[in-house]
Amino acid sequence: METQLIAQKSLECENDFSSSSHAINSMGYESAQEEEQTFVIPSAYNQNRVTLLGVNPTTYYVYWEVLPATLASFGLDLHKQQLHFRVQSLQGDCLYTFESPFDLGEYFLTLETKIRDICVKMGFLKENQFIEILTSNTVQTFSTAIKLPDVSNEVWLEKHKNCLKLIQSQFESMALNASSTTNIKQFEELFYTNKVLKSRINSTSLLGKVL
Amino acid sequence: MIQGYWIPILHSHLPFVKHPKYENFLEEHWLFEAITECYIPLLRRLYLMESENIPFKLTLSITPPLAEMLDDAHLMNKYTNYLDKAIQLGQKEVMRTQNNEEYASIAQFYKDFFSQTKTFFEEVLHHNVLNGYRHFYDKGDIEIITCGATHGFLPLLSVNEKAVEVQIKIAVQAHIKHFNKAPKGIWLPECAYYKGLDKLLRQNNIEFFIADSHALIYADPTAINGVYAPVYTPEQIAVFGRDAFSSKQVWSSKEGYPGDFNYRDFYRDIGYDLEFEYIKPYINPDGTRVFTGYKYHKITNQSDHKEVYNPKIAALKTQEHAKHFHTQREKQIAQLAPLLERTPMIVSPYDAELFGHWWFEGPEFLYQLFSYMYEANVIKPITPVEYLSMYPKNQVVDPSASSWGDKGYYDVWLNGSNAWIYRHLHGMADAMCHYANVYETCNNNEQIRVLNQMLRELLLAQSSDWAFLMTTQTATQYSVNRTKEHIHNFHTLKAMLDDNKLNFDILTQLEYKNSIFDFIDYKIFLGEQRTYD
Repeated sequence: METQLIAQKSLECENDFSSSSHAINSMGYESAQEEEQTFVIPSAYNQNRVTLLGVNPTTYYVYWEVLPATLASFGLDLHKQQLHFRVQSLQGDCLYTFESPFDLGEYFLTLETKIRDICVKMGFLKENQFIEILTSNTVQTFSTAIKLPDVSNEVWLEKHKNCLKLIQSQFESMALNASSTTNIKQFEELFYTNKVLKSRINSTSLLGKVL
Repeated sequence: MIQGYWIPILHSHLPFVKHPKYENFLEEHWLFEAITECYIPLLRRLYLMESENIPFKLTLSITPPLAEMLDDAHLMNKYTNYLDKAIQLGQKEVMRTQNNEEYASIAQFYKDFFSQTKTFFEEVLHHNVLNGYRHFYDKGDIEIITCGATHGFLPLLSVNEKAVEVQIKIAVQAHIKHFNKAPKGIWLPECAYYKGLDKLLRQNNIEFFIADSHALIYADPTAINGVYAPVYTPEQIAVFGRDAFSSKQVWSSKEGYPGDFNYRDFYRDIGYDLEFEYIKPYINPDGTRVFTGYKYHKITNQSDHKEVYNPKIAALKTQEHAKHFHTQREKQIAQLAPLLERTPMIVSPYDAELFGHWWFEGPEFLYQLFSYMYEANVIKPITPVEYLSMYPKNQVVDPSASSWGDKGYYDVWLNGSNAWIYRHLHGMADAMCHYANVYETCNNNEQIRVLNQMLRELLLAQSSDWAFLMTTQTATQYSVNRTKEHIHNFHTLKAMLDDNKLNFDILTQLEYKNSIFDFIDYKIFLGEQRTYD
């Protein structure tokens, strides 16, 4: 209950400080009305690439470039066929698709998903089968939910200059008062087998011993 | 008795703007105005508090591009000329307004303001603003933290992790160059965080950073103390969450202090108001009207009718607002105390340039606030490191991806107006990786110069300011031109290597103009190369 209250207070008027009030904006008020200068920049990078970028919890941006030689190697003619893009989970669940007739392009897409890691696959459809050409980088989706900790994942760290102490909330007092080997052993077993801890804390880097 | 802690953080940043070919370049005035209205007024108040034995603690991020500009002889010579011109205009203004008591008084105020600024710049700072910051940093009154090397928006650069790593590494190197010690903390550009960034921070011995509220509330799991206590990331980096309530009080366009009718109006300036022939020598040489710094009116009301500004009345207002801010924090702390198992902490980060530039009286407000806090002895200003030494035990959470931009994510830096830049930024970072590896053992000094300048151009193109200004449609063309210029320069240099045909005129010119980071070494980009096929 208290945590919920604190979370609410923490988020009160959260977006009031919008970036539109950044100092550079008032500085930029003074700028010569200069004309566009003619800097020659590449239109393409001559590489096969599809890149996925997260914008916000519901918007993602994809840009791509695929070389003619690559298209030819798949027998793909973009005058007759389109590139097919599949936004999907790492397990292969398809979340969104779009098509494009261009070998160089970009696309903003709207997608709401609770899946944590997503990527884009670029390819084409052949007899209703998706043939993959390229895969993008993986992007982690944004979190917008309050996830109150429970006994398994509330972890505290005590950090001093030369030692670290890692404490799992429900065991702290028990471990501090524990004089029996059994209790300490039980604590250690629980501590080391906890998946959350294992994945999130690099125990090899802990300089001090756990309690 | 101390009932709560306040951690004020000022983020000082301007993009690297240097145009040595021009005697007067409008965008260079961003720096000169910031020095005159923000950095020096703040430093003057810090020296004043020092002389009055008023204890204060302030955390300041001074970004590498800003530090490099403040340390640049060419720009500082231009700054001296800027001040001389402002003082000269003041002398003319005192004469012009002598028969109008109200205006004569405010003209004299500004003439004195510019004269005192010059004296302080020369006699106290010895022509280098960084000297003032170093003085308080070395004493421990302020904690200076770093930022991305060129304020790159790290989540959107992270497609090539090396690009992020280099932004952080060079930032740390620049901090050591300018302040003779490694930074303990970092202001992530735009407070933008993505999962996994903490690992790179740890590799660079960064102990803490600042994030927006939702980075902690939507963390995995949620930070149970909200933004009122720090947390540790999985890589053991402390994160301090922004308190939105105290931000709002200062910066809300509706309720914020800077909107008080007695404060100086930002827009009304004699550069725009006076006859063209009279003001011509003090505006842009091409005839473009610009701010001169002589702003004679107060906000007055929401209409166009403006009354004359009175600095004394405005100064009294800062006292009132400082007390109000303090009272609000007291109330906030009183509400929080029963909910927390420790003394509450409130983190208030702001853009440093808003104190003085937009809100002219901002530095005085800070002085009044520190003075009042000392007198009241209820809330203690401290730094993040001090807080961590008092409270070393904190919850471990995986903060959520976020920024402090509008809507809290990456929209401001990635939308229809600026998305085109990322193809280039990623392509150039990949190319930089490739060339660093190809030329790993290069000992040809000319080629090394080309490679180092390529890296400078890449870093300058990565500055988040350009994408931001494209979104807000402020200085849009300049931002587009700057981005294209650095992309163009990068590829021109790359072609020199590819063709084994170095053009020393171009190289020397770029080294002089885009001279950021004289210590740069392209080999910082050595590492695994990315492939996408």
